[in-house]
Amino acid sequence: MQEVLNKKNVEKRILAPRESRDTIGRINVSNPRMICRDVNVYYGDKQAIRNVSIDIGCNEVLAMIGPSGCGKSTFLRCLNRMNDTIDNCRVTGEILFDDKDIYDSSIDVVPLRAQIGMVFQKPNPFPKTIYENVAWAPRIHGIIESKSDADEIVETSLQKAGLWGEVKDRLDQPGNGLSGGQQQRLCIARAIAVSPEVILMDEPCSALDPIATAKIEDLIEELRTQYTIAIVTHSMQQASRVSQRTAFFHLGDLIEVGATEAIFTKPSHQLTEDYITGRYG
Amino acid sequence: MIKSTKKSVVGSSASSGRIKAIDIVNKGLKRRYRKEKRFRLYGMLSILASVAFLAFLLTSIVFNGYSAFLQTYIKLDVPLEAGMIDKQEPGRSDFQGIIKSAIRSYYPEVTERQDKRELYALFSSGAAFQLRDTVLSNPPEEGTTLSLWVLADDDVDMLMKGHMKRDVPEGSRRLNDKQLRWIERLEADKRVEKRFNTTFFSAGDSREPELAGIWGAVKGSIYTMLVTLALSFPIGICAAVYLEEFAPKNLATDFIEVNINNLAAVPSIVFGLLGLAVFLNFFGMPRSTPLVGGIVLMLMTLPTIIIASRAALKAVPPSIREAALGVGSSKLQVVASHVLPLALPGMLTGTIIGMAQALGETAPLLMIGMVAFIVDIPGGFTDPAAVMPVQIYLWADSPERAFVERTSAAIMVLLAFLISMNAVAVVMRKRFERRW
Amino acid sequence: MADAALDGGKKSDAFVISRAKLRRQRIAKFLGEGFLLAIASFVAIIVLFIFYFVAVDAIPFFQQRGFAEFFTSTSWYPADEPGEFGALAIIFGSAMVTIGSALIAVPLGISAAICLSDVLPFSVRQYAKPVIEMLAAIPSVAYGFFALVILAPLLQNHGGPILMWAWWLIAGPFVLLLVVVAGDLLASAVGGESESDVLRNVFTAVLGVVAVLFLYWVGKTLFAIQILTGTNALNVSLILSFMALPTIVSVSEDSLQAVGRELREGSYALGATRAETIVKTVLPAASSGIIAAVILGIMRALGETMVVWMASGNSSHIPDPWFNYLDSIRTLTATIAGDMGEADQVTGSARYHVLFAMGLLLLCFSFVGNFISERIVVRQRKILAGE
Repeated sequence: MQEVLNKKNVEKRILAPRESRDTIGRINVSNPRMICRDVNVYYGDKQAIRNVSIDIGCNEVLAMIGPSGCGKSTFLRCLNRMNDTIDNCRVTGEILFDDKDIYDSSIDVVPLRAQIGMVFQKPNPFPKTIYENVAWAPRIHGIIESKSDADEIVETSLQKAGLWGEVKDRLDQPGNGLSGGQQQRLCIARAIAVSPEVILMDEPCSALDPIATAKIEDLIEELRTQYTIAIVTHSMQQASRVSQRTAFFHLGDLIEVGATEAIFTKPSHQLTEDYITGRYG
Repeated sequence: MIKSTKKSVVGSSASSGRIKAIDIVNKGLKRRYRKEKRFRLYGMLSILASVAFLAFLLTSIVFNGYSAFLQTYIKLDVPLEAGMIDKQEPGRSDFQGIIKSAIRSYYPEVTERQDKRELYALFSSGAAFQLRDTVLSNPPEEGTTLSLWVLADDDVDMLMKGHMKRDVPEGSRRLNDKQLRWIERLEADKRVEKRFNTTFFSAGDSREPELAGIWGAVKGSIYTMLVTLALSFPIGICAAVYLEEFAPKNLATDFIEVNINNLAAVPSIVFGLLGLAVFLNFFGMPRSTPLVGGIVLMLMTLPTIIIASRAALKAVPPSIREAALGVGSSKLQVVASHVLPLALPGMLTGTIIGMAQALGETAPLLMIGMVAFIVDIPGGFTDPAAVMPVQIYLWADSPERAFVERTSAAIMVLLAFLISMNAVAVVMRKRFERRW
Repeated sequence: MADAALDGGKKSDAFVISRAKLRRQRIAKFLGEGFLLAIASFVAIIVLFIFYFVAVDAIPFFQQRGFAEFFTSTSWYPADEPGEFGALAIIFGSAMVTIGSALIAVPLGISAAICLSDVLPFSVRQYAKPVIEMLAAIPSVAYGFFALVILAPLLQNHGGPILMWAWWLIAGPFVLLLVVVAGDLLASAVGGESESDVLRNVFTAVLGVVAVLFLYWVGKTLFAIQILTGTNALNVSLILSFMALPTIVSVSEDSLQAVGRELREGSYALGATRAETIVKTVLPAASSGIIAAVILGIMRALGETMVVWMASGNSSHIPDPWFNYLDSIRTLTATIAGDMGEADQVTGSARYHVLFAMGLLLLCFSFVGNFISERIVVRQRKILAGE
């Protein structure tokens, strides 16, 4: 009986009218790398993200969790303006990086994306050799000038991505001949090669097996010392393992944000608790 | 150089004095954006070139052809005196003579034989037939004077439409000064008029441009298309159904697929050779007929229909097949009652496109003899006929200026058919796509 | 399906059917599928039939006259007694217009395809694509008429000026681009890392003046050219290129689209510009489809009959010099179409069979081209999948 009543409460809350909800928890951090204020995203007439404000701290891993369709990937893609590539997508609000709003008309998106890198859900290495996959972006940005530069950057990036040992003898083989987990680490190496400040990861392990996932989670922990990472994940266990702060999204609103441990042990908002305890999702 | 500092770039910002990767990136930006602009320019240029060419082609054809839809007629008073019309067989009267005497009576001053010939040349040789038709359909009383609008000769027509200039020296015109003066008299008497050219749409081919029409070719095209459709649609659908639904993945199926692909690669003139060698010479089928033309075109359109039908069949989701099998249908029933109706719109789209291609084909039909000069309008599938593209080709070869405008007009008519067929196919495809 | 063998309540018999019925079903299935198989095989065999019948009528020519004359002699006098059947000039003519049209259509087509798939906004693409597809819907006889009645007189009467304008419009942008690139290179070679604007502008200005003078001089030379006849290889190549264009654009665009969003997003996310993404990632990935498209376009130009018959001048000789596109030529397809009328009167003679020999040649080229493009597509598909 109690179960049924609780379920009804949950449903009522989920079906509440669609004005934006206030976020519970501290959105500010003392040393933010990126500051987002009042971000709204529209696909045509449909609103996908409502008034989200959040800081992303330096050298921290921020996990974004929530049920599917809640907008966490959409929000992540705003951070490096990947939503620009979608035709009827409109973004309002402010996203500050180095004290400049990245959506300002004077901002050039090309160098921005060299500073804020992205790893996608499905590994998408270029149909080129492993070497070329990593060396490609630094080359077009002009960071590499000679073959020895390229060799250095390729080796460093692959090492940082934890892939060097496995591929150092076959750098000239096609990138998509690797296993799923290796491909994803190749994509991470590719993103690292241009020395970004922030790395965005959109459900990087959802297409991988558990062993590969574990490897990447370890990698994230290592990368944290050098980069700021924002990761979208549908696995709460993963979020609790790799992140320091967690943000919970629900139907386009940012419901709660706070230290990972706090969120997962004593969430403040009922929706957060319901999601974490598995009542829906 | 900057090399060593590149390696020590770390993720955190803040401290000045170290050269970050981002600075290197920013330096190279200007050059990269210049390349980007040039790149975009080429793409746009090539599209503009195609559009410009298409516009040039269409406007020049329309420009040349629109005047063909009007035709010059001359009002002639034809006095029908006693004895002119044969009582027993009115159709065999000397209408040519009647016309000539009517002309003479309007220009009594013309007496020289050469002059008279030049005078008669202003009127179409079809004028006599026009008179005949009028008399036969509406037998007039003796002694009455018929007022008839008869077709002018094509040279007069060209003059009236401005294609022949009046102010050039006599030697470079097809009408001499005398003829011009006779025409000016007609104009002053308001006996010259341009009317809608119904002959173009109702007559068959003719040596005289003013009497030439596309109706024969249109009918020939219709018959040929019917034969092509009747043969290629069922065969194409069956082959597509077999390949998509029933064919096992073995070497024989590969063989079939490869060869259907090769069929699409055969040049059109070779189909003509085949038609000639096999259908005409070997089987002895009648030349220049829609039957043979239709068979040859069927061979050409089969690959188009098969490929489009296969795509349509592939687009039907497997869940439908499984559902049908689940209630206990046999494979044939699944395909016939469930898959085929859903794939039919896509197949029809492909068929329409294939028909449009076949409608525009010329070369193979030339080879099987449809190039002969055929005046009669075909009545059936085994009557000699021409098709629209062949008619256009024949007229394009003729030197008279009047044929140029008719060729353009015929191209306009053919293009109208083709564009509307393609448009129907595109609209159908859009409507069908919304289903899933 | 269940037979009426339900007696009483024996449920387990509900799905059993009699052997007779089973056999009937099997026969029906056999007939039905067999019928479909027969039809599909029929279609497949057509191609073999075509090849067979053309070859059967082509071989007698080689039996009567051998191979040497056909392929090496340029004396084409089939009506003479005895006739001469040297088809080299005709084969050369076919090659000339095919290559000429490829030179125009391939760069134009690939740029248009790239523009359509990646550069143009979706709304403009909706209109641009049908326009290019309309080029494909226009029948060849209309193109032939246009070439004969409009383009040929234009070339003949105003040939010089047209060539001059075409040179300026086409070569102009290219030369200017070269100037800018060369300016860049020189500036960075001389000035080093400083990327001085002044230096670059100076070099560009100097080179620019040289380029403009060059363009002008060539233009003036072209202006003075008198095109003797408007029905020539240039005319035909031009028209054929616009006939092959829709094929190249369509198939190339399909393969560019097939590369997929993920690859493009991966490139953009690394901070590449659009041009860099297209040229360095998308284009290489789609290269197989594009090569196949080019081959298909070329084969279309090779197999075209009406346009060449009406507008090539039909003169069987190798132009002098060999690259003179302003001269009339004759192609294989036009010869077959044009000569068959007479040749058919003398069925069985070399004159009749030589036309089939030409048809056989065309058929072989087409099959080879088809085969190559298939192989390329299959091989590159494997590379994309990572084997």
